Amino acid sequence: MPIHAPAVRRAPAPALSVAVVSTLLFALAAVAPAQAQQRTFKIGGPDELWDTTMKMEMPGMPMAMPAQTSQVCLKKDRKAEDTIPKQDDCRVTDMKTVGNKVIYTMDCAGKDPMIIHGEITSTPTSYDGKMRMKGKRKGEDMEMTQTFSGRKVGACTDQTEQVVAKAKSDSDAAVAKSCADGLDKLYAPMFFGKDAYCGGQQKQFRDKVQQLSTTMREPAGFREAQKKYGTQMLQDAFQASNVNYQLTAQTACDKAVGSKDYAFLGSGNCDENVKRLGPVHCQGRDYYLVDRSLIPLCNRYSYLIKGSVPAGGMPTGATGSAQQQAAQEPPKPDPMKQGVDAVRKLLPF
Amino acid sequence: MIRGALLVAAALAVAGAPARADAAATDPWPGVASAYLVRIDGEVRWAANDAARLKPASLTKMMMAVLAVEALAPPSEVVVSKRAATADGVRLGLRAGMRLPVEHLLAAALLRSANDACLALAERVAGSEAAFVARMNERAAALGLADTHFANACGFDAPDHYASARDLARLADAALDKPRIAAIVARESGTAKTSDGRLFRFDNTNVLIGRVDGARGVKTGWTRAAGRCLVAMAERAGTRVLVVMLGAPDRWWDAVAMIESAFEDARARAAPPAAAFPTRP
Repeated sequence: MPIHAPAVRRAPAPALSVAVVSTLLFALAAVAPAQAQQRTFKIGGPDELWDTTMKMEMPGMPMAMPAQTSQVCLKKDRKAEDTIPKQDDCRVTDMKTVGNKVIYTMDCAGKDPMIIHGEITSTPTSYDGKMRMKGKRKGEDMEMTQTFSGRKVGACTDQTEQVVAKAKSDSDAAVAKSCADGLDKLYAPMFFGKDAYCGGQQKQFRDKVQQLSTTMREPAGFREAQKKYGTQMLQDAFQASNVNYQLTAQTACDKAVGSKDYAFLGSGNCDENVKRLGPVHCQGRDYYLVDRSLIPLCNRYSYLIKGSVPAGGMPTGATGSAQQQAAQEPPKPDPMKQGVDAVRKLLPF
Repeated sequence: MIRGALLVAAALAVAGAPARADAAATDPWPGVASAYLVRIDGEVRWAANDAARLKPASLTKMMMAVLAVEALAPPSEVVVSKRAATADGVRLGLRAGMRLPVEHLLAAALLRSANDACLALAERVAGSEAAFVARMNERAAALGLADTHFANACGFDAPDHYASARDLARLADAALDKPRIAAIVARESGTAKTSDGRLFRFDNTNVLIGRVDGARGVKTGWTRAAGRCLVAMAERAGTRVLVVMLGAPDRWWDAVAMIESAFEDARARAAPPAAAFPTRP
């Protein structure tokens, strides 16, 4: 069975002034029938399907407002009060029943409060009612009359509660999944800041970062985390969690120096170490004679010295300043290198 | 919330996009080479004197290889001529009458820069070096290499043997478009085996292979007039960097710096993968 949303058929709006239209829109919103709120139902079932009509009149209106019709599914076990058109801000303050007529008074709070006196006469298959509303709109007195009626036309099943509950459940699940994804990807903006809709899980986020900071103190752990999350994401996550990223990186770099993990040292995380080690291991040497294990370090050193500061000093003996070389004590001339160079100068390749 | 996530993504994108320098007007490595060019994904990022007609030395062999792979399909074999066997400069040590597979000679010419292998291939393709050079110049014209002219097949200095860094970048593209060439120049070493079982082993003169992450080739060169030359290509995560250097005294260190700088530049300019971030459902 298909699920229907209540249909509201409206006639084309007459040409009215902005002020009047504004007032009317307010009035309609203020007294919209409870049943006409966004509800969902299916045809057939234990509840009652009603065609409802509502008409609004305002003193001084040049023409009558068109009637608003809608089809609603009313709970079979509804209270009499449920058929009274009202909004969330409205509270029934007085109600008495005379035969099949209910007479009531409603107090509507909100920005534009109003008092409503109404009555509704109902049978098992119909109801008719009328409300007089008095209040203020933008400081000015306002008075309206609303008539409403309903006719039972069949059976239905009100599914609003289930649909709302399912929608909420789906939404909660989607948010939970998104937050889990955010935690998995270590995406700090989802957990911190004014747009953080996973703010309730800040502790989990901080715990994860804290745990990471421990494993990242080792080069292998650092490398793995960097590969998984990326440098920028890690830095943001550490900052959001008040964990010192630089200190963590430095700890890993110091360990890499101790273990001669030149690949890690040259990975871009240990540039201060590279600047200290480069002159010792790279500067003044021919590239092709540098030990393979040192190449990541020396590649980074070359980038730092020549690439990031292109007009700056050169790491090789051929182009480095004499002062630099004296200070760094470049390696002694390599006889093999000299021989190779001498041959290379003779041959085209 | 979604708007917030988008704002964060947009802010990251803006932060990751530094001001674009005018490539043609930028020379971040003054004096590193008589001419150089750095391309990122086909776009010239940094260059100096890149239209100047300079000696290309053995970078010439990229053109030789292009014509050779077009003319000679494996398992073709080449018989080494007496002239090829006595070629000047770097040689593999081939002797006249030796018979080798085309692919082995290509490897020797491209990796070892062996002139005997280079000349043997040129003669096999066109009958003579002169006829082969004519084809090289025809192809240069067809590729639109306006500042390129060849006087020999293998890169020896000659008055009318020249190329610009810009043209050599395009020639490198043409060479790398040939899968056989691309496969050879990516190797760290190679072998050439004659039909009678003589085996030659050699290393790639391009020492960036195996030392620089993502290095894929392509050719080195050196002559007294040309100085140290290099065309190097490296590829990482879909980003391709090509460096051309002519007359570069410190080509390896400078090439490393240029390649690393180019990848850093590409990384900094790339927008973060905002779509990968979870947003509020």
